[in-house]
Amino acid sequence: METEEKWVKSACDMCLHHCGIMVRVKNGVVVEIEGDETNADNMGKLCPKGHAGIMKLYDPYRFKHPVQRTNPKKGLNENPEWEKISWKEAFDIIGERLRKLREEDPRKLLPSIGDFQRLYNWAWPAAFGSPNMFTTVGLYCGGAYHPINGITHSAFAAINDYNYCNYWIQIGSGDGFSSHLHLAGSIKRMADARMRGMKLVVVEPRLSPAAAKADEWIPIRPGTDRAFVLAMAYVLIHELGQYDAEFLKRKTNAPYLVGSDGYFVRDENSCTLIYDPVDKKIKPYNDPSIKDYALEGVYKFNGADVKPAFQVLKDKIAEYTPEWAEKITTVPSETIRRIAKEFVTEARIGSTIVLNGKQYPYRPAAVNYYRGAQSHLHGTMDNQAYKLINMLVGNIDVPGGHLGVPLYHHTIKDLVKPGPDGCIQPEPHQLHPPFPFKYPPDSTQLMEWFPIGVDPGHLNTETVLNPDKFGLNYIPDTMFLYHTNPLWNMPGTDKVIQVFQKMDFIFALDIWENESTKWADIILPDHTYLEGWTLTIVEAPMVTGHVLRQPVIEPLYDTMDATDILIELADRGEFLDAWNETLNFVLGLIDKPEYMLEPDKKYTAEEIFDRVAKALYGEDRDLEWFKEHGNTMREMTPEELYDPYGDLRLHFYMEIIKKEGDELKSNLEKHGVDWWDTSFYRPLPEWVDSPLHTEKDYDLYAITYKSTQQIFAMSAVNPWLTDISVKDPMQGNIVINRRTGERKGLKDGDWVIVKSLFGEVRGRIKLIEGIHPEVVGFPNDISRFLEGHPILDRIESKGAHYNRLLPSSLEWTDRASGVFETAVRVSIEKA
Amino acid sequence: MVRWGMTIDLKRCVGCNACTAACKAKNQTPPGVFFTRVLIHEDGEYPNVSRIFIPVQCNHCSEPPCVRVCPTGASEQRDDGIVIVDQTKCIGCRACYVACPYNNRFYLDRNFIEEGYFPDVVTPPEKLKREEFPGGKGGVVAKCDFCYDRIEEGRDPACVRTCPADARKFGDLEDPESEVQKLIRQRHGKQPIPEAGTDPSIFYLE
Amino acid sequence: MPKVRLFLMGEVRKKVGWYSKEMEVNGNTIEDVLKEVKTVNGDGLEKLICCGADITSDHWVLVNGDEIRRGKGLRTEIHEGDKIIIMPVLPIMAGG
Repeated sequence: METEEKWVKSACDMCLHHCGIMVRVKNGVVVEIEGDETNADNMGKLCPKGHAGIMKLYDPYRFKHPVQRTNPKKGLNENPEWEKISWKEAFDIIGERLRKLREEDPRKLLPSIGDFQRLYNWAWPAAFGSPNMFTTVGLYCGGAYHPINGITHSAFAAINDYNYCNYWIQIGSGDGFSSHLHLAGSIKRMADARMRGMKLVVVEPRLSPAAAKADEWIPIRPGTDRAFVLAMAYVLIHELGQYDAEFLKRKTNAPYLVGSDGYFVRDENSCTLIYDPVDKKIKPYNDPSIKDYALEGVYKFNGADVKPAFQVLKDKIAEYTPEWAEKITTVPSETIRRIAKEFVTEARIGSTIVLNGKQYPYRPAAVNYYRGAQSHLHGTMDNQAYKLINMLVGNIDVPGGHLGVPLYHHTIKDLVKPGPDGCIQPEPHQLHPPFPFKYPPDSTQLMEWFPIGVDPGHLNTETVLNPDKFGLNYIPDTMFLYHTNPLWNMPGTDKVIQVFQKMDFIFALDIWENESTKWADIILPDHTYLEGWTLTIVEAPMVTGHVLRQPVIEPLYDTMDATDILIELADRGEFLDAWNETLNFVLGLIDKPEYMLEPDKKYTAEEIFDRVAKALYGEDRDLEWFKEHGNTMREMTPEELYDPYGDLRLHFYMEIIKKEGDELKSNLEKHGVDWWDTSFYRPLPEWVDSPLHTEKDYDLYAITYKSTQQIFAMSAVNPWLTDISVKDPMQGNIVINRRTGERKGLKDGDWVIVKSLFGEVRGRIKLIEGIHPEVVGFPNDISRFLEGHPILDRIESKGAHYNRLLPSSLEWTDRASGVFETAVRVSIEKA
Repeated sequence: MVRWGMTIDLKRCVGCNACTAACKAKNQTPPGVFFTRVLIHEDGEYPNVSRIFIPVQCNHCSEPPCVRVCPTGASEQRDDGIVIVDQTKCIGCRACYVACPYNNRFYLDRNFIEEGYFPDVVTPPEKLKREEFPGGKGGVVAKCDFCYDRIEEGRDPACVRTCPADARKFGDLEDPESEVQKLIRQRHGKQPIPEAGTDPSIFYLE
Repeated sequence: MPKVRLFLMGEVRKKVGWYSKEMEVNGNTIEDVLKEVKTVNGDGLEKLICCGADITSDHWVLVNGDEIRRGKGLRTEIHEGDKIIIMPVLPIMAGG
């Protein structure tokens, strides 16, 4: 037989990012996936998940055609008893439901969407008319991370400068090792940086891959990283007196004078003020006669004491000595002192570097952080602290420092806008414009009450189950699940089950049956990424451009592209016009009106991405061009990466956060809501007691993490990846520090019960050295509880379902960012 | 004469298992069989504890004990140093499996040809690879072959090509100017278990 | 008389009857724009989406991507070539 063989370029979708791939197709069979060497993002590299995409495509347990449940009973242990139906039948049934809902109240649609690579499809419920979101952006990533990146850099994410950083502190993050931004390329960049001698310090409760490779691992008590960093700030300011004063004076609002109410004081023109120590005079911040800016001191303005924002910080952290932090973090005070000293020394304050003929400040020391460091009850202040320590050495968006990473292909320069008081416009809302305050709220995630937050989808467990408490005047009755699994990936499983039980109709767009989709009435089967279309870019560090996802083979089964499914559903639901105009907005087509979709015309995904490609890159880079070349990814130039702010200042003192919080409080009180805690909204980070640490009845902390082969999600049923995971002693078990375990009479292989205030789980224990003695670690690679799945069923020990231990409540939610506490206090005993 | 060899940089390696998965895809090995894999070793006591990642596979020794003990000549050493198993000659006696000091040979079950990763189904890529399998039957020994078919196409082995940390380099050990030889010299590359006297073609850099 | 491009989305489009238009504005604020856009029953758009001196909490007005509440509200200035979007408050994703 003659062999027919081809290589097709496309985009990986085994996590939310999109490494460029080359797919080898032999006689119509995908036999190999490699990284695309022409893609500047992953540089020909792939992570293990990327290679295992073959097993996603050929997974025989995929939904192969639309199905309808015949078992009227729904539940975790109910078999849906699927029956095959045609696409026409499926669309007819859902279309009728959508039309009815739109007539009654479109808010009754509760969408749960997790398809990050096709972010534009997240807007589909909005076109329908539903304001709701039932997904856990806070747990996946950064409920608080994104707003603070938006206020600090006008960016969505952030990373330290792989090219020039020499001293990298990493707190609770797998960047460059095991997770987060564009992993394959990031591992390469990080390995190159380490090889050129960059020092890496990793602060984390467990010996993660990053910690294992670090020059120094600093184990820390969970949820206390902010105290560690605040003590570093103490050392810099109070002990060493070393920080980038010039940067703080001229490039931030640190010299602005603050009144006793926490707001900037202003002159008769509403202009913020500074104190000029040379002229010994208070002046408007933009007064051309300013000779110098005071960072410290107390001054009189209109008879009252006022202080520079920097002095406010200095006073606020005056008690945060390393000795104080040691009690909170368990990190020895001498370690904190040494790290602070190394950090500020390596930052080379005052130095410059010339790149492409242009001189930039050179600050090759930076703190990078992610989920573990900030998905906590005070996540907003956690993020503020990490930005603050970077600002103190003047490293924001300069060579060697801490760089913002935009959500799409833009550079930070594209995104920065002039805001109030000579500062950049704060952009806490990276996903959609801010919801204005409203009472009663429309959205079940209470977005109207989170003026700087990311949609806290887990709060559906509060609002849907207690609508009266929030004045909610309707309850959703129809759920749309789209590449998501809230029953597994949301906290407070029992409450999530109750939300599911409130639903009268559930339809799902997915590839597989999972804990959640098995509750659906109708399943709309999506193509895998190797069979569908998109043109994408999501938070790529150091690079910019787009990658095309294109079908590498004909679809194996009677499935459809999710984008086409949503177009068809919009048509059936009689809102195609609204969906097309929404797509014009979300895909940026409104910038090039000649490529806009006409409201009433039905397009295919392929046609849409042809328009998007041309709108972005011109007529000659249409879809045909992308089909051949695959991507437009390229390294960002120094001019694009560095010093993007011009004369605008950065928000060292985040007055905007305080202002939003105070406005929210007053708005809520007008409606009798006096129980909403707005103490989370502070202009500067500080330490406040969290019930996580004052809990007395549970002696240990629990945390969760994944290994590289299962980063993000959607692969625990992939048999190759699962086979790799089960070989890892950290996976399939609950892990505990050896001496702690022995003290409790536990040994390897014992089955244990772990209890929190909110739930309990059972699992097999493994005693290890590489974890903080107060911590129980829950590796979350294969901890699925779906029964009857042949791949999952053959795993002897899957670990335990961590989310059952977590609360899902307002009380454990940061009321500023919407992030919830992802660590929890537990006790452990032999089962 | 060329002698193919590899360096594995343990400082660069982050234990991500991209090599493991790439190898899986290339060789379509059955469940539990990994021609390359990453060993994880924890050492020391908290808080002075380290964890190291060590990718391992057939070392393509220049003095291969597996070849010496093979009664049928199935295990053989090519002129370029690559040690292969000719499964058409293999009788599955597993003498080589025992002789290998590195534990990097694998016995493929008698019925592995009819079985894939998913119960009851052999997926098309698994099927294609099984059809190419020499001898067309299981009950034989198999292992890493340095992806010699890829080398002949001018491509690096699958594990080398994908390694995100660039920890793996492949080249000619006989050529003093090759990247692998330079790395071995500069970084004092070490062969695994030198006392076994097998002269492996894989050198670890620390 | 700055010329701007206006997009009306969702319910707003339905009430006005068109989706996108380039228009010259007699004035230089958002308020002036709203007065010039007539709903199908002849009212100015401000009747539909304003409540006193503010936009109602059900609507967004974006000028080049910025929601006007963060600027000067209805008094936000407009300039030649601005892109103005008026839409209901719904979690529509940020533009690509």
